[in-house]
Amino acid sequence: MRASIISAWALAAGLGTAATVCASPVIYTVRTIASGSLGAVNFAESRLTISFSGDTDNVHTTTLNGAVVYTNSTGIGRLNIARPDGRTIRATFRAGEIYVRYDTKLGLVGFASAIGLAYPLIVGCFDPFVCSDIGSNDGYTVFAHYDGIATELADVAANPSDSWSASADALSLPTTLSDSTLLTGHPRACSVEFAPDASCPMTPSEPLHTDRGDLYLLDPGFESGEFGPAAIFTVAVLPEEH
Amino acid sequence: MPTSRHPSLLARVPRLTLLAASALISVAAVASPVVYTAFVVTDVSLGGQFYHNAGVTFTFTADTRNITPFDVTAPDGGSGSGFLVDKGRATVSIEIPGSSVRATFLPKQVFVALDIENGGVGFSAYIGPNGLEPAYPLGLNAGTAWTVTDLISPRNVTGSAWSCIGYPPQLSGDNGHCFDPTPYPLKTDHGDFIIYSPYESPFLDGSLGPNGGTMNRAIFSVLRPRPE
Repeated sequence: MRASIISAWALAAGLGTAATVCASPVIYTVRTIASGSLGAVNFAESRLTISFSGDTDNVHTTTLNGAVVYTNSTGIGRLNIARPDGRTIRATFRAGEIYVRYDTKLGLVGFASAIGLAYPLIVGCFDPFVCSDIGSNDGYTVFAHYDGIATELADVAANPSDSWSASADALSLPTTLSDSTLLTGHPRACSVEFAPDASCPMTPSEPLHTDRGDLYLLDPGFESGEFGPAAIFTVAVLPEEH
Repeated sequence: MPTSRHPSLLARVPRLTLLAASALISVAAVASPVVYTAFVVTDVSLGGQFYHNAGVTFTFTADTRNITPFDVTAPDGGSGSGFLVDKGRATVSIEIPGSSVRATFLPKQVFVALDIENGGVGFSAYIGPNGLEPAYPLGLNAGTAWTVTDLISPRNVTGSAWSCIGYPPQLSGDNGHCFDPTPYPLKTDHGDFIIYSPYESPFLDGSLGPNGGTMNRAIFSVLRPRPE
C-alpha cells in the first residue's frame, strides 16, 4: 500500500506540472477491506485502495432538493488490492469508468459510476440514501457519530445543536472535494438500489473496466453503529502549480 | 456510563478464547515470520516535526514462536486476556502529499496485542502513567476488529481507531478523556514520536466511552510472508 500511495502522489505531482496555470492537483482515496474479482482473479477480505487523481478545477457543485453535491469526473482512477496472502494487484480504470461524488446532506462520499451512485464504493452511514442516524439520538449520544466522521458532519450541518458530540478538530474538517480532509464511515458497494432493510439485494451484474480486466466488487455488508466494516476516505490537495 | 449499542457482540467474546488458544497450540510449534500492520490517517509528530492528517502505517515484524498469552487484572478491576508479541522490529511510516518518512522504534517501546476478552487489537506501548498502554499508539475495537481470534492467521480488519493514553478513558483516563500524549513520546531512530487523536466524539457528559468515543477508523492486518 505504501508504494502505491507514493506513486499516486508522485503521479499527481506530475499531473500538476502539466496542468493549467494555478491548477491544484488533488487525490481522492478510499481504503477499506473488500471482496470481489478482477479479471480472472478472485480476492477476499483484501485491503482495497481506490484512488482518483484529478484537479480541483474540475469539481462541480450541484444542489438537489437542498442537498449540496460535489462531483469530480475528470482524472485517472486506480485500484490496489492487497490480498491476505501478500499478493498485490494494481489496475487502472478505463477513462470515465468512475467519478468522485460527495453528497454533503447525507454525508455520503466515494466513487460512483454509470452503474450506480453507490458503486464501486461509497463511505458514510450504514443505510445509504436513508441515513437514519442523522438527526437521531437517545438523549445521551448522537447516533451519527457511530457511523463515522462523514455522517457526523452531515448531522451537525443539519442539526447545529448537536455540535457538542464532535471535537473541534472534527468539526473543522472541510466538507468539500476541493480541500484536504478526512471522512470515515461504513463502506457500501451496491450496483442497484438498496433494499428497505439497507441490504444490497444483488451482486453486481455489470463490470467496471480496468486495464487488468473486469472488476466486480461485492458489498462489504453492514452492521449499524460502530460495528461492521469501516472505510477511510481522504482528499489530498497538493500545492498549486504556477 | 456510555455503552455500546451492541453489547451482545462483546458478550460473544469469551467463547472465542478457546478457539484462539487452540490456534496458538497448533501453529506455534512451527515458528515462522509474521508481519502486523495498522493504518490510520491522523495527526502525528516525529522528531519535532508535526504532520496533519498524515497517512500513518505501523509495522511490526515478528516470529510466531514469540506470541505469548496474557491474562491480567488491573488495580481498578478491569481485566483483559489474549495474546501479545513484543519481540520484533517496529517501524512507523508517515506519508503526506509529496513526502514520506520512516522511523524505527527503539527496543521495548511498542508491541502488538490482541485482547480477546474486550475485543481489541493493535499496537500497544510500554509507556504512559501506568507503564503500559493497550490502545497507544494505535488500538482498534468495534468494526470487524473484535472478530480477530489469534495473531497467527492472515487477516485484514477495520475498526474504531484509538490513540489513547489512559484507555479505556472512563476507567484509566483523565476524567473520562485520554491523557495528553505529549509527555509520553515513543522513542525512534528519528527522534520522539507522538500520535494524536483529534477526531473524538464525546457523550453528553463530555466523556469518551469504551466504544463510540472516536470517529476515526483504522485498518489492521496480520500478514504471513511467503518463504523466500
